Amino acid sequence: MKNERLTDSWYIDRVKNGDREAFASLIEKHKSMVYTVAYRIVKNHEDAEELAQDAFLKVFQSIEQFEQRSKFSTWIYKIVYNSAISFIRKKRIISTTLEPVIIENFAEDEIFENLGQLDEEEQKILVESLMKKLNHEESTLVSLYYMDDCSVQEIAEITGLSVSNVKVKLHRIRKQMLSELNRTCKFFER
Amino acid sequence: MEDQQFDRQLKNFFKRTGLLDPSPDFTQKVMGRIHQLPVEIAQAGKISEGTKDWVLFLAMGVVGVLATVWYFLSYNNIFSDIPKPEYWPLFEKITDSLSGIFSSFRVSSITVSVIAAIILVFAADFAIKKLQSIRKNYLFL
Repeated sequence: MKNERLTDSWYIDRVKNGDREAFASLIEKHKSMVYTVAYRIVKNHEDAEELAQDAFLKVFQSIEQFEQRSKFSTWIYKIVYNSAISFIRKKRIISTTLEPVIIENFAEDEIFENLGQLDEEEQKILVESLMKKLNHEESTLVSLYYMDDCSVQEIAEITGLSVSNVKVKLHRIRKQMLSELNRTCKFFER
Repeated sequence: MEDQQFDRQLKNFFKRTGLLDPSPDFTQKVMGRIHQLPVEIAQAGKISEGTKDWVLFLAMGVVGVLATVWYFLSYNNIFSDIPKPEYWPLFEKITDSLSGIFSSFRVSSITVSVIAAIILVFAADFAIKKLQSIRKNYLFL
């Protein structure tokens, strides 16, 4: 019973039956990831907050039509992703891509061993600096794949890319990450 | 294999540090906006639901009345003394051809008509729901 109560579909059914307060639980559960997806694209806190709020509002307005064929998270990420992409198209925000310069001096285990020595605040700064070097599409893929454990199929559904395209992009991002983390480790070694 | 291991380590790293938080009163802000909206949305929903039920009952009622009239006319009993209008042969032709459709079934024409009407109404209801869902998806995605 306890697990049943914690699922998205349990809250969705309650909202559909008129319990609006149950929607607050869905917001609490998904707000960080929805906000992260928006922020990775627009790269601005105020706009990301506004887009994330709008996404939840749209979901609430159309929850009656949500038939739960896909996951609730996939649905709301798709909404916020599309809204954010439309937003940057309107504002013509230019996104830069990290050039893949591969420097593989450290073993992968060594990299994470070194990163583990940084405190939480330093790790956060490092993640943000890594994300800033990715374009909005790449940083969204990282957020969905590495932070929310979305499958390649789910990412394809959210972003509208093909499954093979998502795989190729993730592979490229993985190489870029490895290269950047190597640079960071070299910097800390000095 | 190496990629998978690297992915696992990256996932652990990003999950610890990469997720961003919106403002502390984010949920209250969204719920506040929701509380402003729902009056019209809920009312609109209720009106459309109510209207849909009435249309359903009305359609079934009309079909029921038509089926009853058809039943009595086809047996030529209570209306036999009433003088028939000019278009009567055409009407008879239509009712004959309609009853011909169901001649192979050994049930009364009223039963068949009611079953057909129910199927028709549910098919129309399903089609309308589908169209609404497609429209909503188009609007929000």
